Amino acid sequence: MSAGVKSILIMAGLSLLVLACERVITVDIQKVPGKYVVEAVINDDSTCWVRFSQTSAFSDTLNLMGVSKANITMTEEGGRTVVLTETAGGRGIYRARFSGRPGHTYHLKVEYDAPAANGHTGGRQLFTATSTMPEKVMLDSLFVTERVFLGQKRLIGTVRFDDPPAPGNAYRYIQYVDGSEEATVFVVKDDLFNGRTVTDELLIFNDEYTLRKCDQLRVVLQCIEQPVYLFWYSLNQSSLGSSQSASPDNPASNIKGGALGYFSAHTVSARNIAIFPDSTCSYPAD
Amino acid sequence: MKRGLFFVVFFIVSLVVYSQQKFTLSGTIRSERTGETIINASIRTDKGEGVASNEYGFYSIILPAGEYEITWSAVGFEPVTAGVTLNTDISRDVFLPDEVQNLENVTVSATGKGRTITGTQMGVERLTIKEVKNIPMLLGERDILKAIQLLPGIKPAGDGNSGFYVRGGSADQNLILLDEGQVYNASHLLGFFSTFNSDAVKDITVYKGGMPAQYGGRLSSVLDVKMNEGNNQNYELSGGIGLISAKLNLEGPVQKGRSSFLLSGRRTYADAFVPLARDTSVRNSRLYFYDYNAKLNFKLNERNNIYVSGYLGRDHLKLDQFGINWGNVTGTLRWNHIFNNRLFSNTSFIYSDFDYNININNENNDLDIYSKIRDLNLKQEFQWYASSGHSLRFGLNSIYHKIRPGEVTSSGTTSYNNFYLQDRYSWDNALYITDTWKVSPRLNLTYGARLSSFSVLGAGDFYNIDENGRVTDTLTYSKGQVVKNYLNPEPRLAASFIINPSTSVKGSYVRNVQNLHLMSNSTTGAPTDKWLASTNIIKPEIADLFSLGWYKNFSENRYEFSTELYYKTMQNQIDYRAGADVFTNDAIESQILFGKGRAYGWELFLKKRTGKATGWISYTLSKTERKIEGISEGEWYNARQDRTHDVAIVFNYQLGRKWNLAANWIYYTGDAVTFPNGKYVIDNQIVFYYTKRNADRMPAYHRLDLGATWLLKDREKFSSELAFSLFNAYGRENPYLISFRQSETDPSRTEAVKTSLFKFVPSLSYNFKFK
Repeated sequence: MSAGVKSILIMAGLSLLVLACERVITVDIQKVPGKYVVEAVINDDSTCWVRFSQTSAFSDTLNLMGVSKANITMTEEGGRTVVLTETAGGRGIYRARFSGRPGHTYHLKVEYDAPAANGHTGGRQLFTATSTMPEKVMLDSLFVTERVFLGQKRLIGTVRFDDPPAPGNAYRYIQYVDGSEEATVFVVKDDLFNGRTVTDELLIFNDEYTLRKCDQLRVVLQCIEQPVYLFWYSLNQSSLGSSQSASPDNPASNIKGGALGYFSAHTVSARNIAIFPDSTCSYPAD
Repeated sequence: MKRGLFFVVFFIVSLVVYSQQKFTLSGTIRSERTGETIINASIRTDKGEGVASNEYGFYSIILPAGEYEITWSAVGFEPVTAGVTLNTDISRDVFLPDEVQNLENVTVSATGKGRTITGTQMGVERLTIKEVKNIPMLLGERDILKAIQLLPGIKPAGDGNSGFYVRGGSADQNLILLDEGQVYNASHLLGFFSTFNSDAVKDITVYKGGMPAQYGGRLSSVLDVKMNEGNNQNYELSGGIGLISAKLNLEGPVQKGRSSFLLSGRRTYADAFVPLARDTSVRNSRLYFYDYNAKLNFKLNERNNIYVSGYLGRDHLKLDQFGINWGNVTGTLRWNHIFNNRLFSNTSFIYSDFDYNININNENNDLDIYSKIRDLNLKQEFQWYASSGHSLRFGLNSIYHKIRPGEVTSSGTTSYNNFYLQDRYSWDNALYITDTWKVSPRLNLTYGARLSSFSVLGAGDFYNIDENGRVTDTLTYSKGQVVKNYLNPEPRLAASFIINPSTSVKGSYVRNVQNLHLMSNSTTGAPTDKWLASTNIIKPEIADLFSLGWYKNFSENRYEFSTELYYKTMQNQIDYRAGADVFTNDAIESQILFGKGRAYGWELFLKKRTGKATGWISYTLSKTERKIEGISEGEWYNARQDRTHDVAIVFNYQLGRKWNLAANWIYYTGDAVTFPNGKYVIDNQIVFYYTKRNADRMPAYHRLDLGATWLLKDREKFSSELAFSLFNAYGRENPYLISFRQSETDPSRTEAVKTSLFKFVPSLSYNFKFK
């Protein structure tokens, strides 16, 4: 919500300034040693996945520097431990056949014997994190709302679900259009809607963005815990390269040991719709 | 600490009573044409003694019996000289005629017109509307907050922005007063215009250091704006229409020579065309602001004056289903009482309020967010011209603050609950006393103190938190119960040494304490930035400022030169934690970090006051840093407003009677900003990796503005003019912000993108006056 307020102020400011112009420039970027990044997910739908990587230099064309040969394990508290195995392709992706359960706590451990490279002296690296999977909330319905925004008529994906009576719930929505993920980070907490039936619009603050007739829309509702909410919220506020924020910074991480990234144990619930489908739409047979 | 103040009082009194028999010349200085009192007019004798009129035009000078030739003078007025035989106390009200507009034949008198450099006050800049009037401004909108940014040590908050930073302080560390009422958000339209309608303003004084003890509550500066009182001789209707706003100003006597009124309004009018738009979305949009100023003053008798003044300003902004509006209200009721020719009293009751309201309204979600800060303020001040060597100011100030951090209401039929952050109450009190002491003909000393007491009051829950910002304990207080009291003595000390009549050196030390803190995380400031009062955890901010200056008038007072050095330390500075959420968090302390700051600099200022060509050059070399545990690994880092070099050149030329030409050029080192040092991927999206806060620089900012004013008519009953301006005349693309993204043509590459706002912005405005 506050992001919405901020965006409207920015948009209003910028729309006032029709004289604004954009230009690509070269800036002097200071080179620093790389840092490790852990992105780890366990959900209740058979996904147990870690991407272990390093930051790349600003000028690099390789954005994802996957790290191979790490020992990664996931443990359910009071339960079993699984080892995640590296997938082919060198993109630092590790997986295991493992499904999480709501209400359970998971421990992640990433061990790595680093060679001296990328500005590091090398040596053993250990990153750990803990995340508890919240109780599951189902995505009740998905539909499209027609809305005028910044002078344009847009179709906006809209979700509806019932927030449980107890406070402290947090959610993340991910929107896919024709199978590809839309990058906007949507996270909300129940501070303002605890216990209500929530209808939320996935408004994308972009001059042109709109869903179109015939699009196949899929939205996943994740129930995330508060530290993971904080990660996404702070990432959205100050880590995506927009300098409206006076203090760009790294997102608040729940990984211990000095890595960037997050570990999220969350539930997933998804809905798919086709937007105003009729005979003029063509969909690939599957 | 209280004992310290008593000691100061006792010391002052013991100095003052030890004085010989003399006589007093006192009175009020007014404009002959309008009857307005004149602030800071100079009263000088032929033997070299001098004083200045106070903010109500009152003066009092104590002299040994004798024959004097007295000169009363003020900027923009013709001086008046008269012989006075002082063998008894004399009361003399003086009316100064307007300066004769005969620029072909400018004569400069060495006495009277030169600025006074003998007083102890330093770090002060005064501007009159006459000086501000011809400075070219963005979209031709005259703006006092942008004019003061051209002075040394005062820096603009951004391109075309009315926000400002003084001597390394942040934007909320400026005390902005309009007829004594505090203006909490002095800007319109996201900072591009200030709330001050220059047609209603009489005098602007900025203290960037050495604040007199009657001011307190902010660390960096005091901007004291006084409204016009209204012409008590004749009716005047003036107005203007520019590119973005139209203004109208009506003033005149209620009872000629005794009382007057002023009504002034300004409104942007772009939205007047909105209903004509074919697009429904545009028709449902709003984007406008307005300001209304009103003032009434009554001279009850020779000893009593009553003033009532008020300000109301608001912005409305609505885009589709979102709306936001915000504004300030201030009201002041003042009573000036002259007890006798040596004792002047002013009592003020002041109301001030800032609030904003955000609406989101559609069939899925409706929400109304409301927040406000409101002050009730009582000030009592005495000015006692005790002897020829001592003049004193003392008084008290008591403010009751109420802050409503956030109130969310919803119709209840959609997604939202009502939600309510606790109201916060505090009582802000101060006692102060200052003596200006002429120790010797060459040495003046101003010393005194302000004792401020800030009481955090219930009702409400207060919190204890650990170092990670987690709430460890909740303490509940009942209504009116004192949660915490902060008592702070604020010593104020200033001295001037007169080397010769045109040269002086000054030094000062001042401590300021600030108990209201503005939390902001946007580069330009937003109306939704949050005001917080000190709590059990949030401590008062404290600044100690040392400054040293050298002042010189030369070429028969045609030129003024000054240079000042300053060093400032700041305690209990505040910043957000990463990912802070202040909208829905009652335990706000859990979202913030504390640290300290320092700032130092060197300022140079050369001004040509008279002649066909006037103007000034100002240069500042400075540094300002913060050190906050949890940011940049707890090391010193540049504050955003840290700019090494800052130059402003302001030029004005009167070409014949009809044309006035103006130009200004500004240069400053780019803002300290945080650029990413690397990048990584999270969930298929590029995320940037940051290391040190504000270790990078924006490109340098520079700009030339041109302006011309053409006097169309200048008759006895009517005058009119056309003003042209060109903002950013050579089209420099100054960066407003720099953002980072993946290249659209080659998504593997990351690029930096500069957004610039204003280049070659022309404007035209028409102004008129019926007299």
